[in-house]
Amino acid sequence: MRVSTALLHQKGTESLLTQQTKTMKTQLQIASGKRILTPADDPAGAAKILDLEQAIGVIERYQDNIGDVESRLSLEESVLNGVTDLIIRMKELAIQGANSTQSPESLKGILAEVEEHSETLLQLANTSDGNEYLFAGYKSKTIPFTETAGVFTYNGDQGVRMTKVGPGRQIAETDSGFEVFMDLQDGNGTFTTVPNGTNAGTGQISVGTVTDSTAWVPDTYEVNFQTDSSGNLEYFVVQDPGGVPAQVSPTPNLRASADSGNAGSGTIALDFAGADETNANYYTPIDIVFTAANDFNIVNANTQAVIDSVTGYVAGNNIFPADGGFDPGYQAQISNAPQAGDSFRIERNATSFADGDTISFNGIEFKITGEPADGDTFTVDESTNQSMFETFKALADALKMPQDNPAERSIFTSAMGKVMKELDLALSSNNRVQAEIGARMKAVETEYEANTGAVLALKQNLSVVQDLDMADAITKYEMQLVSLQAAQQSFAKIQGLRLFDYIQ
Amino acid sequence: MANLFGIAVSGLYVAQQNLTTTSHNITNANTDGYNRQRVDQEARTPIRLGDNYVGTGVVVTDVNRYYSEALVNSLRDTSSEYEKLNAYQEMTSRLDGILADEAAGLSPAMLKFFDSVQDLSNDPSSISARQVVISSGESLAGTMKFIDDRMNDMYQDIDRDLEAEVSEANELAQTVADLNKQITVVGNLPGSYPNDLLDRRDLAISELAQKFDVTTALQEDGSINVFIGTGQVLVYGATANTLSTQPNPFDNSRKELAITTGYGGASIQITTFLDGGRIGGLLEFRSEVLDEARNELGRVAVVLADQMNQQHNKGYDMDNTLGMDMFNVAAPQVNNSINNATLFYDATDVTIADTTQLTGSDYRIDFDGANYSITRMLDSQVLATNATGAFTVDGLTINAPTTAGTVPGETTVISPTVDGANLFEMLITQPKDIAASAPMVATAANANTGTGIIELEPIPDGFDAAGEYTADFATTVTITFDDPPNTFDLVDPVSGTNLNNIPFTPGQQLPYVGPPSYDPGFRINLTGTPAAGDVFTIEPNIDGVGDNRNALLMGEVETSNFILGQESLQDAYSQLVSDVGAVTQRTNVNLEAQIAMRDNAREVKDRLSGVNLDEEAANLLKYEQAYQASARLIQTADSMFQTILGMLG
Repeated sequence: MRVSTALLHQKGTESLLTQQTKTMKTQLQIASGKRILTPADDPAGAAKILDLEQAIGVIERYQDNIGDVESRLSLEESVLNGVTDLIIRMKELAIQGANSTQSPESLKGILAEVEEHSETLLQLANTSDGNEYLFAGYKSKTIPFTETAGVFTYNGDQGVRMTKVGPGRQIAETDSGFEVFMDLQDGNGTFTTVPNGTNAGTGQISVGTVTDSTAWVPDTYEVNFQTDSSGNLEYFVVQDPGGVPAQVSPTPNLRASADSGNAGSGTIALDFAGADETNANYYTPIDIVFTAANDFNIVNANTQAVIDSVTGYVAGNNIFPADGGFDPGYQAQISNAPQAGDSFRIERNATSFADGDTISFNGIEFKITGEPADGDTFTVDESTNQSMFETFKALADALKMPQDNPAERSIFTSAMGKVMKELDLALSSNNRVQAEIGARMKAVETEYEANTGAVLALKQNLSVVQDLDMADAITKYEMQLVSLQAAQQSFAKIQGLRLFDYIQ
Repeated sequence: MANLFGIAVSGLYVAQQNLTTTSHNITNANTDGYNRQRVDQEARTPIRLGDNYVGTGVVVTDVNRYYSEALVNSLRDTSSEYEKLNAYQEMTSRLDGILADEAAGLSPAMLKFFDSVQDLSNDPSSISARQVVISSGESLAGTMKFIDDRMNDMYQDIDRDLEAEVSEANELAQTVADLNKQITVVGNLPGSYPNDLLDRRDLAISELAQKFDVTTALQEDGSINVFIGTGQVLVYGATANTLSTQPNPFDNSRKELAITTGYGGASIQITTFLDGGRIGGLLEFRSEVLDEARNELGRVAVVLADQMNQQHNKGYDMDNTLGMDMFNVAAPQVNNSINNATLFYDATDVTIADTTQLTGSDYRIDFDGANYSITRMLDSQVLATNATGAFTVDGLTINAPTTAGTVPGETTVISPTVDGANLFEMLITQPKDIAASAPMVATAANANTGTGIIELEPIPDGFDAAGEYTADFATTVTITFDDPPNTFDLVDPVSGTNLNNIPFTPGQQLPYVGPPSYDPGFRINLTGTPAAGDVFTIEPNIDGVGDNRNALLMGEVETSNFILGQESLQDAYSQLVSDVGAVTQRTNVNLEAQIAMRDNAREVKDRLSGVNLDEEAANLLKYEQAYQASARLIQTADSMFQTILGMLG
């Protein structure tokens, strides 16, 4: 086979260039430490590198977010710790203030401190991180809490800012001031107990508890005290006293009795079928006074005025309506044989009361201690919103109450009991928010660990795709250098062989 | 005796010819296209002397090339394909490099931009975080533009290259024509063809073949006709036609190839017919790789801009107004053919209805005299045919043409995303104009006694249309729970009518939808147990500068699978990089293979036709000896003659 000289030369040069190119590429790979220099080296790998780098970038961003969330949450936590301390101090002051040994001067001192702490609470609630108010919701540039003439206003909103801390995982990095300071209830959280300011007795009412939340019907109730004909103190409870009053305790709401001096064998029974409590005469106490064996008058028990009468009564029959049409809205029968002069009384049913009795109805209960007077009332109402500031203010207001006589002191003690309960509620609400923050910080920490693991795995993955196997590459490089040298040497040798050199 | 002299002189003469040819071979050892030559010699016709024939010496019959047409054609074809792949590879590697550049690539710029959006969501009220979003958006736009500019450079370089190649091709064609003329004139003389002219013509033709594929036809008179493309005549005998570059009928910034036949003939565009050679490689790269890459990059830009805008439009900025557009969304390019008689689609006739449905392809609308049909050029699929010329395809809404077509064959090309990257631009300049917060805020009234909590849930696929959500944010929607609290009332903010006793189940998401056509773009999420009389309000989020809800949603644009419902922006860009990488890789492999084939063809041809200097050196000695021997013959004849003379003397 013949070879042309030009081709021989060209081939030699080309193989040199090829070897050089290969060596240079390996050298570039070694210098950069990367297996893929351009996407053409491994198109799928190059795309994978881009995807992996993005995935890593996204997760590392979450890690940055977690740092932000942690610093915000710890700032919030430290503020709430301050709030906790304040509430505890207020509770101590309330206990001191409620002590009957306080003099007016010492009460003034306590009041001054309470008012000081109310100021502090407002300042804490308006804490700013230098840029944003912590508890203003989304309106983070608006001062969240302001006070005008004792009225506290929340100027923020109920927004809670979320931050992404992991794929598909968002964590609240703030709590709105509404939730932390405003959305609290007065009383015990379900209902409030307040003695009437004009009570003459020394009855004190406890804040009470809920025993059966399903039986609780939110409304206004009134506990009424009265003395019965024999001077015993008793009470009854009326729901919605200002509207359509209905007695909820005791039941039945009426009682009937035969006078102890009756000569006949007559007995009285009440029948509540179709009873109408709204009848104007329902609770009018009446005496049924027999004028003959089959005739009787219906007499107002308070005024002894005759209201109506019945003649020719057949024992066991319904009494109402009476001959004159009187109908109190319930039904009664007198059986057996009453005699003339016998009398029977129908009046509002009430429970006899002893100091410290527990009063319960509609799934709630509370205690009244001391000695209420006839006509004293206590109001039980469903709880309404009361901000933490208002609770603090309620303590200050309670401390300003007059305590000049036992009745006033009783009212004061009830009010202090209510405020102390409200402070407890504020404390537990605050603790709940703190616990939530703690849970979030824990969650964020877990997320951080998970993210760190994910980034590590992705980076390993990236390294597998992207990084050069150094040992392998250096071996290859050495071999390529050897080939290059061989090519250079053989080229020089072959170029040196010329027949013309030998022709003299 | 005279015979002896004659033989000796013929030997001298032939040896001289041989030496001359050998020298010619030696001196042309490195001449391109040179085929080594040899002297064909034969014994002269003998003369009859008595009963015998006596030799009369040697004579040169011909000087011939070591030449094989098959081998020359094979080398020419493989070289043509090599040049094509070489140009293709040169260009794809360049594009590959642009896309892969770590510092200038799109990937890091997108990541940085979304980093800034994320930072904004951490601190939405911070002016500096907002400023960073603007500047990283600007640098994202800069990166888009940078890559697009580099691609544009490639278009221009291809155009310049085409011009240069065309002018060289014209000169080569002229050379072939001239050589045809000389060869036919010389060839008509008695004797053989001039070898060196044939070599030069072969060389010129093979150089032409390095521009594009050619076919040749040898004529009886020795001339060669050269055809290109699908049989267009480039050289006919002594005449060469002229190639030129002309603007594309749809896009006059783009150069196409045309051929003008002599004698005032019309010029025909032959771009699509050309294959092979450097020109073929450049054209194929331009239509197969570069066009697609630019469309694809444009698509990423258009989808990113549009999706960010859609989300940004749904938020409230620091002025308590709905967010403006964040990025410029490039409009589709509409290119009517300059050859159209009447068919004209205005730029406003074509709009993008849904960026997520875009494919990155160009579309061609053809009018056949009665109907219009639209073809997706990427896969040559005819998508629809109708008589109006209005289409809805692949996220595009194309209205009927402004001026209808009249003549069959009128065409318009639509490039939906070609300008996407180039016109991608950050439109926001003021930090306060970034809409990081949601436009509405839900509030439970302070006096509520129930435990109901209200939240607004944006509808996953976003607000329906601009007209719908500007209307509702001005008004406050109040929800009041009835007694018992298992229904609620509200006043419809649009119609003003009372909607009473809407059923409510705690924890259930309320699809609050007003009149049939009205959808406020959010759902009410009420959990807990509201009490009778509880009031919840949904109102404009005035001064909610600490709200990051919309910023969070903007951040979702990065990883959501918008594109055709299955790819994220990053996926689409990675796909582009990977596609170009794959093309480059494939081209590299093909080029290697083609180099081997070309080298093989060259080697085989060279084995026959190439000059080996050692061989020529040996021949030199051989013919020198032949010459010396012939000279010795003369001496011998002379001494014979002297002998006779001496006898006489």
